[in-house]
Amino acid sequence: MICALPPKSTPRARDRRAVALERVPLAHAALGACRLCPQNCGVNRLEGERGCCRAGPEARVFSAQVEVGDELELIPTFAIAFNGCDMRCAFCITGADSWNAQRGEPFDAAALAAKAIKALRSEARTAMILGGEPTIHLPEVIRLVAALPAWARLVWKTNAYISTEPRCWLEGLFNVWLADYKFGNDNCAERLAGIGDYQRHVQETLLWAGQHSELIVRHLLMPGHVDCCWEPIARWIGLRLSTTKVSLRCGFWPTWKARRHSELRRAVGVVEERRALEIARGYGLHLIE
Amino acid sequence: MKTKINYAQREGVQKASSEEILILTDGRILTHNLTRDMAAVLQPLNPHDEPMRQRAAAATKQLRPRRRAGISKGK
Repeated sequence: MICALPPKSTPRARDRRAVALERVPLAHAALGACRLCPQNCGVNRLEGERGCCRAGPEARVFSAQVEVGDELELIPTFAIAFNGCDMRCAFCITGADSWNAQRGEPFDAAALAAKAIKALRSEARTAMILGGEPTIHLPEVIRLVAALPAWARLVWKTNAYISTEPRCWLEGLFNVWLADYKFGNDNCAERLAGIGDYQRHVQETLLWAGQHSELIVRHLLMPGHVDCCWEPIARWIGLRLSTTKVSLRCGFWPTWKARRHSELRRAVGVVEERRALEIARGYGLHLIE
Repeated sequence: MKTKINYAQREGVQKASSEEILILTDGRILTHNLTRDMAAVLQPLNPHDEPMRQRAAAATKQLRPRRRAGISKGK
């Protein structure tokens, strides 16, 4: 897909807020035939049609607070979590809030920006936008960015399963992309998250993000998936993003619908964790806490 | 054991705070949406847990705004 933005919209040459404001109408219009994610539904969300993510024209938010559970270089962060997601991970830690785009509270850019600015002026190092998957609410996300000051250090937390055009609209708006690489093969992605062509889309996103922003690749180690998922992911990162920071998270939490899959009914074992770290070291990955 | 803590709405926009902890049978403690208050509670339970110590320390820092932190490229 060809990026629809004119070349003059290079953010580094202009104020981030101005660039964001310019993109809001484009992103909003895209909801009329939504292809913000690779599910490629093409539904008219502006007229109330719902695609795979079930999101409508307006975003909702289920959490906005200062947190310290993310990567050390990002915390404390003021984390704003949008309802709804384009994936259906059985082990989703935010469960109903991510799967149900109608939960949470109505999005209010001005109110959230005010809270974020207050936090950034006192206790937070960064402001993080996440979901669910925030890409499905791109117009509101960009509106929120436009309401935040240029000095704010912004983190885009994504599952990386997004389309080309949204990537273009996000260019230059965030200082850091914190991107998941969840599955090491398409079979596990299909079985555990109900999505297709996962590898191609995620790898495209990660390569793009590595060229346009600071990038941290995060992998949540899943029990029983060290060899089928983590090993190929680590190998690929070692080959294609060798200097990129990698966050290997071992605190798998058997929740939501994880019990549907026998191997996901437990936490990650100590032996699995040790082996995952050996794999990371073997491929020379730049691990961060 | 799974515990979810929701504090009352304080400022009329969003829930003020929400976090979860999961205590595994082998004694490991997992957290989700870890806040500074919970980090301060959990850190003394296992002073040798280095990641938690670092998070609790980060939570107590009072940072000043970075007014000139522009967009940067990682590569």
